[in-house]
Amino acid sequence: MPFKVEVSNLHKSFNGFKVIEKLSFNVEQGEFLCLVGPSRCGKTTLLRIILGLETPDSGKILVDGKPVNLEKHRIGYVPQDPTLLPWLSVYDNIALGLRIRGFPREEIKKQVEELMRLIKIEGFRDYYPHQLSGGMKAYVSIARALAINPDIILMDEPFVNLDAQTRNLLQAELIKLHEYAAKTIIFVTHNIEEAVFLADRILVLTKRPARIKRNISMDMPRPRNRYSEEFIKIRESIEELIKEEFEVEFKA
Amino acid sequence: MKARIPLLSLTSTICFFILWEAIVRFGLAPAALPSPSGVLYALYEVSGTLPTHVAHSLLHFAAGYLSAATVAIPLGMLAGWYAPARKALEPIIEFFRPIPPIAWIPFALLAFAGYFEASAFIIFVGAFFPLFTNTYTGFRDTPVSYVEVVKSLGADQLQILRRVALPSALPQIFTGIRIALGVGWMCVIAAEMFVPYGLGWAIIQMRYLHDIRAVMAYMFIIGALGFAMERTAKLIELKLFRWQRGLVVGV
Repeated sequence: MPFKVEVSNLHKSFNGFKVIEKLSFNVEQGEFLCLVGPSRCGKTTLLRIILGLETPDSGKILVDGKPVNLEKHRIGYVPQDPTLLPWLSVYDNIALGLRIRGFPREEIKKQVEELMRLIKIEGFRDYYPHQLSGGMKAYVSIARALAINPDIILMDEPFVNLDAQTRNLLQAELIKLHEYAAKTIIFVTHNIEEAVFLADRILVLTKRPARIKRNISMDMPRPRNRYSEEFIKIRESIEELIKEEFEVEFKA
Repeated sequence: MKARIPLLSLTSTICFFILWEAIVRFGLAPAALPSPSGVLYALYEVSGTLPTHVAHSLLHFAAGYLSAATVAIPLGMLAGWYAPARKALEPIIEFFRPIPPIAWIPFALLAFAGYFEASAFIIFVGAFFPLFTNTYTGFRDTPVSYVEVVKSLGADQLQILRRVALPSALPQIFTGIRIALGVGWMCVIAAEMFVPYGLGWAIIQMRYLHDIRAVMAYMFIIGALGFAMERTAKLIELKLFRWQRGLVVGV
């Protein structure tokens, strides 16, 4: 069986700056992969290349063994900023993907309403984005990505601007979603605790240009206790790896 | 948001007209200046032919304005969305833009067989540029992040245009529509000074008759109509773009 996502030998530079160099990894069907690394190391660029929003200088990305085609593949994208369309209500924002894909009105209504119930935002159906709090916007942005029933979800630090409580809540919900719906998730974060809490596997990236520094398989059972000895040990070892990268930067 | 007239504005307006009336009555102003009550009376005197002139002017205006919108908005979309179209159109537009609409009047009178077409053409010229420029800027400034989001949801080029570029440009297009109403209305009066009907013609006739009260009466009518158009457009704008209300950039 082919990998769900194959990234091979990826290179990307902007104006002579190497952002990604010789990067290769695979993601299995149903795997929750977290990418962590020093800030500005090219994590976002990597997600954008997988999505096809940027073209790599060289290298290949395959999804289900084929080059990415956003009109055919169902890839949910949750950008760092919720980026809701301000002229659409919460309902219409969530329905957007299904409308673009030409689903019949009745089916859209059923799906969107179910999704809103699931993440408990039915009460905000007719609100416009500027009337929502940051946490609520993040909910809607995630719901919008989920509405197209994606089999891969790409998330770019989706919880970065949220308070700790909301973040923990959303992390727990995401784990549920991953376990029940067997979605493949690629999750970019610089929050190491978040990565250790969420991931099946963590890829630690080097500073720019991004290469793989360490590949860590997480076999801790869920739900994970953030204060357990094992959790803290893994967290500290990853923090150490990233600190090394910063030291390299300061020496250079 | 409530549309109520504050006491201060109302008082100042009333005082202004009372003061004006007094100055004229007591002979403190040049003899030519009519009093507000005189203008009001003149308005009553011309009211018989007024509807015909207004109808002519509005007809000229509608013809010129609508044809400007039909050409300028699609062109603005094209230039705002496709870089090659922008490069091709820009020098041509910039060549004509600095020519004032009024300067086109002699040309229009010579080029068009009828007075109707000539005055409509002047309005066309006046309304074209604000319509074009605002539509163009609206489409050009479509936020890339919105485009990327709908792309990730599977949108093709046409869907991106329809679901992101158009709605995000719409407020700006509407600003163009509103500004063009004002500019176009100014042009209609100027254009009609050289044709034998409409408010522009009527006001010039009163000049020849040395009836300054009637001249001012027509001035007020022209102003009132322009005001009404602008206000209607503003109201529609507020209704249409409720999603923008209270929008704070960056929050």
